[in-house]
Amino acid sequence: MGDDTENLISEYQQGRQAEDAAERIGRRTEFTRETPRQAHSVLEASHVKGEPLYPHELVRDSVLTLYVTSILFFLSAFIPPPLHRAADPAASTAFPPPLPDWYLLWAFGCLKVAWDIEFTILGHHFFLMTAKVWGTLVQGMIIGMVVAVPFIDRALGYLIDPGPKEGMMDVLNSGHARRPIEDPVRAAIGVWGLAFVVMLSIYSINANIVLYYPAVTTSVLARVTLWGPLACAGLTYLWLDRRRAEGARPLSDEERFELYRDGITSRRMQRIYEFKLNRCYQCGLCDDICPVRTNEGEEELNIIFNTFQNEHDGVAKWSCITCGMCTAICPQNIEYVDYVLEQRAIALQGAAT
Amino acid sequence: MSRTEPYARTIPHPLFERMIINDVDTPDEAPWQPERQHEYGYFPGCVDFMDVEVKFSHLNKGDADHASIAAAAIKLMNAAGIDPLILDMNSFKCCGHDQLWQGQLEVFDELKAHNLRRMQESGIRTLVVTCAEGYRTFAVDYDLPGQGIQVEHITQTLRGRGLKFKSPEPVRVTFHDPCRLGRMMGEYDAPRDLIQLVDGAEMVELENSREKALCCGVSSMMYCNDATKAVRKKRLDQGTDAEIQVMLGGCPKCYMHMQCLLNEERMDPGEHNHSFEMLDLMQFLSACLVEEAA
Amino acid sequence: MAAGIDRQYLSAWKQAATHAGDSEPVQIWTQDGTYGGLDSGKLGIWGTVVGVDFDMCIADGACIDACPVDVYEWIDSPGHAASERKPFMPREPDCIVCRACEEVCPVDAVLITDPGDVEAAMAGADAAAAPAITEAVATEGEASAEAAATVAAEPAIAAPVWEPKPDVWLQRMKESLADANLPDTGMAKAKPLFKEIRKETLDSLSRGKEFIALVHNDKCIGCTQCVYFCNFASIDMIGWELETRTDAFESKKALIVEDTCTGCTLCVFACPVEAITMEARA
Repeated sequence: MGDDTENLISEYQQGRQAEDAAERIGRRTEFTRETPRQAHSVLEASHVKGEPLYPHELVRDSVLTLYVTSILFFLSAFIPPPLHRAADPAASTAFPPPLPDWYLLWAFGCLKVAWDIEFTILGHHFFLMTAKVWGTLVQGMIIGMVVAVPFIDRALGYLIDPGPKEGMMDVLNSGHARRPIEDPVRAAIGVWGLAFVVMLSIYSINANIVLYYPAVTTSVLARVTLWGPLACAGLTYLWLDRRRAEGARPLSDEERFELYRDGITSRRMQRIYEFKLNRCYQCGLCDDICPVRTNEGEEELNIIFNTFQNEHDGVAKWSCITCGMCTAICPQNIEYVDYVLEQRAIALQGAAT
Repeated sequence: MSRTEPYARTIPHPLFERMIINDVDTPDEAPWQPERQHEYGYFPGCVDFMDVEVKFSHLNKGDADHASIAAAAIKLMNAAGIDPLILDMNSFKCCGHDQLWQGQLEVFDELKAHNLRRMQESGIRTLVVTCAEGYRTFAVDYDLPGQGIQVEHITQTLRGRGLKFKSPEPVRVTFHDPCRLGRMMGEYDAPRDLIQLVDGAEMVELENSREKALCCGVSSMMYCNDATKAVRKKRLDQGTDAEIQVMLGGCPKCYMHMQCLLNEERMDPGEHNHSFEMLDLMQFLSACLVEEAA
Repeated sequence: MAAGIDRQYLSAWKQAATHAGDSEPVQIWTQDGTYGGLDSGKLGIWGTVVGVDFDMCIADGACIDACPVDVYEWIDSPGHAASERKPFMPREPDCIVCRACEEVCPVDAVLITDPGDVEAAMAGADAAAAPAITEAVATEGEASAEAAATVAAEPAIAAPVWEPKPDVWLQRMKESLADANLPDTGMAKAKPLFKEIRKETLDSLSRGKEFIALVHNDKCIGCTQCVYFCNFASIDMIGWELETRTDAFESKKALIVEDTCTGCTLCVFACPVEAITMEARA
């Protein structure tokens, strides 16, 4: 008998054995699924957990609706209407002047701080723009900048560091730090913007403020509007930079370790880390860098978020090598390894009984 | 090397864990008093404890003798003018890191109680450990600093002590950050500072270093399987890419796991492509130490 | 010299002498039935359940390291061509048929025969009746097609298994520590503890071909330790297919495949939560 024939026969035998084994396994276990390993995607309908419309959602919504209605009744019954007399369209200026809604006060502020742009050079008088025009333009520019920030950010990040070759390391090495605490310049710019919007809003009601606090004149307000946000930004930068220089992390280590030590010593195991998992907003960075996940080559799995949803299985819990890369990359600084540690303790306590 | 007989691996290593549990179950209540007062204590940990069976001697022919890490550390500390009290296994027990991370809290608590009592009896002011896992466990889980004992990794102790190192030949080295030392304890610079001291050694960084360092793949002796070996191989591949000659680790466990894979590759000569050596930082420094004329 | 141990030696070779073991004498088999003693240079195959061809053995010690129950110990064979010491098996009855030594032997000089199959093998039934799976197990790592073919054909010569590297720095380190005392208090403490635990655990377990490992699903935490400890994991001793789902966690459970389980108890050692026990086969 030639080698080829022997090989054929043995291959056939091996195949039969494998089939038998598969059949045996299937027969012995009632809970074997058709596909042995299911994809852990949050989009899978069978994995999405929620509350049913009836009765949970219905009852809750009804209660909220009644609550709001009762507040409306209360206000209308006990607070007199603020309109004292009819408006007079013929009056020259209303005082105090009417104001836009509070969320548009910053736009109103933009119009108020604006002045006519005109200047004289060599005896020629130039009139460039009225206050109304460029006050309006500035509003559009602010919104445009907010929209453009991600694009500018990415473009700059790419220019600074085009990123390495391997796909896994893209997230790690390109762009800037994700946590505000690790990037004081960007954080300071953000704080300046927020403070400036608030100050613009305050500036826009200058007439009303003067009415009650005569000391706070318009010129004072203008100066605070200009320099206040800058001061906020500077302080933010100094504080963050100092923290960074100290090597501090967003969550103080002492606080974290105390929590964790107490959990261990008191043996109460209150699942403290599960609350931390609440902070996950599913960016998926942890999944991109997890070395185990990369090597297992499984389908997309958002480790921390799926853990929060009880999507993790025993393998995920026990095959974690607790290297801490997910915590290092996590924008929310979720302590996934501590969570794994806690879960292992709980599982073993359950198994030992 | 004053050991005559090589120890063989005789038992699969879950029995090693079981042995620690057995050690916990035999209480050691007798008071203990060191012969004299020491400022520094050195905890070699389980390096020689696990040589008994984790040496995988049929794979590496006895090369991965972890006790040499402890011996090198003691030698370096003596050279730096420190006379440490050796907190060895006669009076201490395993630090319990592996048990903690395996979730065996009862065992960990017993070990912790015993070791804490011994620490108080020893009267040391500063505890030095060579192991990154031990460093984390003593500093965080035991909270020794809260009880008046500073915990230092050996690299932090040796830094700035005026030691002189000279490499016998120009060598290209790199440092593999252990997870526990780097990401968990935030110490990246001390080992690098030490390597800078070595005359003739050129330090290169791997593709992933510091916060982004890849793990050696096995923590708390839990797994050695295909997935974790792939992690390890990736790390070693980065070493090949950087064209290093020696990879240095800050933790005996990293050394053990990397060495294990390197040795396993020797069994399959067609496969391996890692032409460098893995050493613990202490071993490397010990080989490079310039003895003061005495 | 033929590559590997003669797989039909129990029937084809002649029983020539015995050597005193710890509890039972160890049989010595030679081709022509004559045996001249340890220093004669012609040693034959030693052992019945644990068979080692001493004429091939190069004494690299892999089997001694691999054996979980300490069956082997060194015995001197002065003047032998292949090596001057051999792995003698004084505790042959302790063998748990885990076949770890078969796998690690670089020259294929080891053959483990299940105690239950010894008589059949002596009667010459080995080649005809032995299930193909036993042979497939013995040549772990080869392609499955080849495995069955080895029943008739000679097993391939193993490639050189150890490629030494220069290890310059390792040698330097060892030289630098030549006069230092390696700490070994831990080792001194561990060794007796080890032997004691191992003996206790082994004595308390029933093992052998008539026993099989059983996983208790309620205790199993799905940690896969047993899968990686099983010598036959590559051949599917332990299936890894199950999935249960409870309210709190879902976890995969280990599954022992009956046909290939040799009752070696290695998985019992591996389990961190004592979820595996040994039971008599029905």
